[in-house]
Amino acid sequence: MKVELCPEDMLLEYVENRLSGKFDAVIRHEQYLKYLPRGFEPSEEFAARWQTMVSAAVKRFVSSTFGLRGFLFDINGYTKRFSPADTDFWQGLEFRFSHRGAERLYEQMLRRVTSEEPLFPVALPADALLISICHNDFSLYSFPWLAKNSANWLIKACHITWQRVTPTQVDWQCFFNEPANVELPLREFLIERAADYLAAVNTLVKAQFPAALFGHTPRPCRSIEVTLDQRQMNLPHTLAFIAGFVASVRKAVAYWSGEGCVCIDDEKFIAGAPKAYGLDLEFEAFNKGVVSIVENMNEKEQIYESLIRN
Amino acid sequence: MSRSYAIRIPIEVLLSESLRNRLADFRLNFPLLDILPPERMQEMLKKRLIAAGFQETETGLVMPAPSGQTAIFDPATMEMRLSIAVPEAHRANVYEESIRWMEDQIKQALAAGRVLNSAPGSELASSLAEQMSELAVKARAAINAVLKDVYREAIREKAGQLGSVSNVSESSDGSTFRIRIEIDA
Repeated sequence: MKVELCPEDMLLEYVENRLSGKFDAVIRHEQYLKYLPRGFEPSEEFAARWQTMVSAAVKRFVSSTFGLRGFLFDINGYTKRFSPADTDFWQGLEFRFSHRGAERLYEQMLRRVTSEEPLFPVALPADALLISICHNDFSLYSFPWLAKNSANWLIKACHITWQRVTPTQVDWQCFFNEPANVELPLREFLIERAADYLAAVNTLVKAQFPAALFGHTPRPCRSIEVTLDQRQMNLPHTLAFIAGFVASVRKAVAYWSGEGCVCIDDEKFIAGAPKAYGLDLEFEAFNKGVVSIVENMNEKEQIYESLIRN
Repeated sequence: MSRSYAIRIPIEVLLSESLRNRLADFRLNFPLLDILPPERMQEMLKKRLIAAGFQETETGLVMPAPSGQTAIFDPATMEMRLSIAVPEAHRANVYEESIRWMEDQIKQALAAGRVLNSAPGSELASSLAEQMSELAVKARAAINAVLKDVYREAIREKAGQLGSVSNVSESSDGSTFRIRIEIDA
């Protein structure tokens, strides 16, 4: 029996499955992957099909990620709020998908037979978003990489939303550390995400030390929940980390609502965001509950905690 | 009636990699005040530590510790390195009908690089962490006690360099220790 294999069709099917969330789906003729050429050379016809499929899928992904959440935009010096349902939201946002994205995903498709890691960094920012979606892993591209490659704010927002964090490691803290380079739509969103992160930590603290946050219910997340990669936490380390994290958020908020203002009136949106999204409340509850636990721990308990919880 | 058999559980499935690393090398750092030149301070500290029972070796000053535990202090870096011997495997008794299930669990955990939290011997992690905490507290107490003596001696020496010492008094109030030195002008 002869089987005709078309790498382009196989790649399209592979990517289509992954874009629809079927990460374990088997593609047709998957058992013959080892006979495919290692290099991928797309035809012109493929390029057109690729663009159509990928652009629509990525827009769908963005819309389902953010729903009707409004982001702040600078319109002629005034602050306006648009959600992915508004046409203005997409103004000036360009997703340039190149053949590199297809090549990386082709390498990823063949990975189980070649055992070779795809050359992930060789891609454009939009390709990076597509690859991360298909890979279901938003840690493949770091924020410095996205900044260096001039990723638009929406690509960064997707990575901020989906990237996993731990109680003592939040990669998107870099935006608070260098607030001057942060685009306006990201600013309020980052504050909301910081509040979501604190709420997630508080939920974990409550699970581990039920009496610690007595009387406080962590704020439910309005969009995609922050995923904490660690189910156990080292309380003294987390306390120190979160104090530094919140200090960096507050410093950034002070900058964005002061000398770093973009519009005439964006300051009032940013200055009120920590309270509006519950960041202050979550931090206060965390601090009150955890400081007393850590203070009551003696040195031996603190060392034990640091050993056993890491 | 079921019989129980002793099986060997690899340590990798009982202790996480980070815990194994920290049990093998846990470090404590101490500050050393510059009352006198650093070389002199280190010399005094070394002398006092040896007097307190530390043994001088090529790797540093070894604090007396129970078998299987080591605590080595380096006066040059003011760092204490602690370690606890971790066995390669843990022997546990398992009923014969559970042996196959247990072995599968171990195989899967080894392949996935995860720790079995409810396996026989899983209490080993907390027991070793407890031992390390005790050792660390003991080591810190030993060094702090010696440092107090070193500071006392260094202050007196420093005062002697400034003039003729007429009176020295010491007092302690909870965790605060005071030395008062009067020098004739």
